[in-house]
Amino acid sequence: MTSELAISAKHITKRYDDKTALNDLTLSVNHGEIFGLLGHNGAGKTTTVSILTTLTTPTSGEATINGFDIQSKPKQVRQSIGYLPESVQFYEYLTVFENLDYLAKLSGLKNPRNRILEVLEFLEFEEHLNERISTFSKGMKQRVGIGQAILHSPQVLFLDEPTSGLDPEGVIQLRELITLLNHELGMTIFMNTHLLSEVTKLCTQIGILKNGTLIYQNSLVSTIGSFDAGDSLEDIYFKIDGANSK
Amino acid sequence: MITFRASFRHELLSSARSRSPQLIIAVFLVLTSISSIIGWLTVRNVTKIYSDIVSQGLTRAPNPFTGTASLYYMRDSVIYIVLVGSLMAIVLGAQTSLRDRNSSADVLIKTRNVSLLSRALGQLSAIGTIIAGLEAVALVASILTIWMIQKTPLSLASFVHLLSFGAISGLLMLAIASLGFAFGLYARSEESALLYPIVTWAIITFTVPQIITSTHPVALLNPTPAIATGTGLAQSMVNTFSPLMLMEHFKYIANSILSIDSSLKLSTTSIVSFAAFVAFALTGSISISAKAFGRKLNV
Repeated sequence: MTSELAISAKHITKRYDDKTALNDLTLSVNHGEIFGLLGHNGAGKTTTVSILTTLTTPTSGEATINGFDIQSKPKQVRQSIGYLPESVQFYEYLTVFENLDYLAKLSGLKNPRNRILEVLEFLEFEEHLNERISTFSKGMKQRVGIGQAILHSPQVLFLDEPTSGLDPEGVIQLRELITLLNHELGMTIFMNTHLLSEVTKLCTQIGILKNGTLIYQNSLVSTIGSFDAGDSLEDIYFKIDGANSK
Repeated sequence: MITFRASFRHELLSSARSRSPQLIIAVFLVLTSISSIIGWLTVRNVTKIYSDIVSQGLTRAPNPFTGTASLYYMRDSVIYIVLVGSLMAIVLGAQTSLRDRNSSADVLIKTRNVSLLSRALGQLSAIGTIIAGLEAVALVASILTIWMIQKTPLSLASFVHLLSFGAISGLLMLAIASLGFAFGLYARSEESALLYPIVTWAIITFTVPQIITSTHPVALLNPTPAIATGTGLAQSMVNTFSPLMLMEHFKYIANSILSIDSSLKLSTTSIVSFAAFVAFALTGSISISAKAFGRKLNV
């Protein structure tokens, strides 16, 4: 099934007891975009991803991924998406292959060996195939994390704070990888971040979330164009954020 | 089916690589394997003392061990299952669900089209296979040592009884492991995932029998079961709570299979209580696994 929009959310609200984590969120992401959802800690970024990846259900509102409704067609949504959570540890006493083999089989791939090798080759990580995850740095684990997320060839990839905790070299490598996934495999990428530098270097669209409300969504080019010529994205972010505080 | 097979294989591999349950598995294996030797040493020492007393003309009573069943030597195994086997099962079960939560693989699994029921069945089947494997090693060791002690192999009837004891012990440990599995899914922290089932086990093993039978706690470490008695209000308490004396019911069943004490009669209550516990623990933990899977662990 093809849809005009890769991701569409309409009037999504999520409440936990008396706390509203998301309030009337409406956003859309076209196929092939890299969408960066910006916001402070606790703004509702992870809740947004949790709802769009079917990990949790919204209190009200509706959303579709690749045209599939997240509540009525969760199976089709899960087939369309890959997800890398903020901090993934894996089964540390198992090797890269054993971890990926298990997750691939749970994704429904019957004989995943060739696919795992193909993915690891794409990630330039094939030499670590038989190494245990316990010996890996955070950056290497993130690479395996991307690997597990794309094993079943999803069209949309959700990344939750993908560069969090990485050293500068790891950040650069992961950024290159995300660009490659978007350009070479044509994946639509939805990433949560609070790092403006990441958005500037990677994203084509941005959204800003504040206290559970989406206060801004536009393309990166239009965003930069609509503010003062000398403004950095940081200045723009604080202008938008400040304007919505008043 | 692919989920069941993948989870089964994954669980066997993980248990083999994971360090924490290995010590208690080793203790269990050693104790159950040498229990018949310990039983034989007991018989030999008592018989030696008996012979000395007889030679001094102090008694004419028959040797208390004359005519005891060949599986009598296995009596200590009963208590090793109740104590070490149960704790080993709790650790195995809890580790299985904690592994997913510690590795954050539960989130990765929940974003895939995975039948959580098939997955739980695969995981519990793997635990069952590990327990069956351990039981098999312990039984083979017992058969060999009884053969050496008696200088004759076990009869077919005794062999069947031994296998039945192994099956009943395996079922008890699998049921307890599934409780550990359920607590591992539900508990907020790693510590409480182990603490809650251990406290539950202690209540079932010591507190309830002590209340019902007024037996000294140390006496509950005997392989022969404590007997529930009472009249009036005490009798109604016995009737109400005796199904909860699961370890004592297990001892009754084991006694009957191994012919340890012929004066003890196996009751329907023991069989029904034991079977109900196994069924409840297995079905309960599987149904909980679908609902509680993916709960966040407080680090």
